[in-house]
Amino acid sequence: MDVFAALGDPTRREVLRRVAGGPTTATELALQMPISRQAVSKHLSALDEAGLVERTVAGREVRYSLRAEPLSDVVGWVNEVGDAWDQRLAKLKSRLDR
Amino acid sequence: MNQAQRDQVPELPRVERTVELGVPAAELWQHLVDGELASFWMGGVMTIEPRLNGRVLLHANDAPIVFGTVEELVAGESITWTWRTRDGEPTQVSIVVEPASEGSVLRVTEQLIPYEIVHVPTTLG
Repeated sequence: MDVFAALGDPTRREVLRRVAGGPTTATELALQMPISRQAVSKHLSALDEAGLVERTVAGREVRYSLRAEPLSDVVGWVNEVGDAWDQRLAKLKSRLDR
Repeated sequence: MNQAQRDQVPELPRVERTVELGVPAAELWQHLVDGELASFWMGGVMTIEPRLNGRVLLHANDAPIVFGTVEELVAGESITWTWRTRDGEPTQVSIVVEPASEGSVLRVTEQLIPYEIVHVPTTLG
């Protein structure tokens, strides 16, 4: 799963926001959110697959923390798509405003 | 939780642009839904079927073909389509045309959408 697909789910984004607040476990997240631990784990797996979280195993505990680097892809997308529309609308304006 | 840390996680990204144009809204609308006219400014050969579930195709020389489907249409006012390249991210484009004192205003929004709600064919068939 890529970063865009991972961010496509609102619950998954909320899980990631909470992970961004500091290293945490699936159990701790499930206590804070209206979803089961299994659902939290599923979202964490998707975020892990997208490279957005880092897993640290300590004994029987798995803690998750944010990996922010892939979020730069989002900034790149906004710039690329924004530039495309700027060029299109400039062409449209040059044609219609004559 | 630290708000700055939470803010690192974006909403699904979107791009919004607004442009004022010196032609009536009805004339501007034609430049959106007529493929030949749209091809002048969209950056490639544009095919658009201005009806619900109509096809949208954009074929630029130096870029993959973008395949789309019209999802909402209010003739003369607004059109929304979902499109994607074969390997690209699916996005939704919404364009609204409104009359203005000096002509018309076009507002465009393009935003990423989750894969699971995308039903865009990515072939020319």
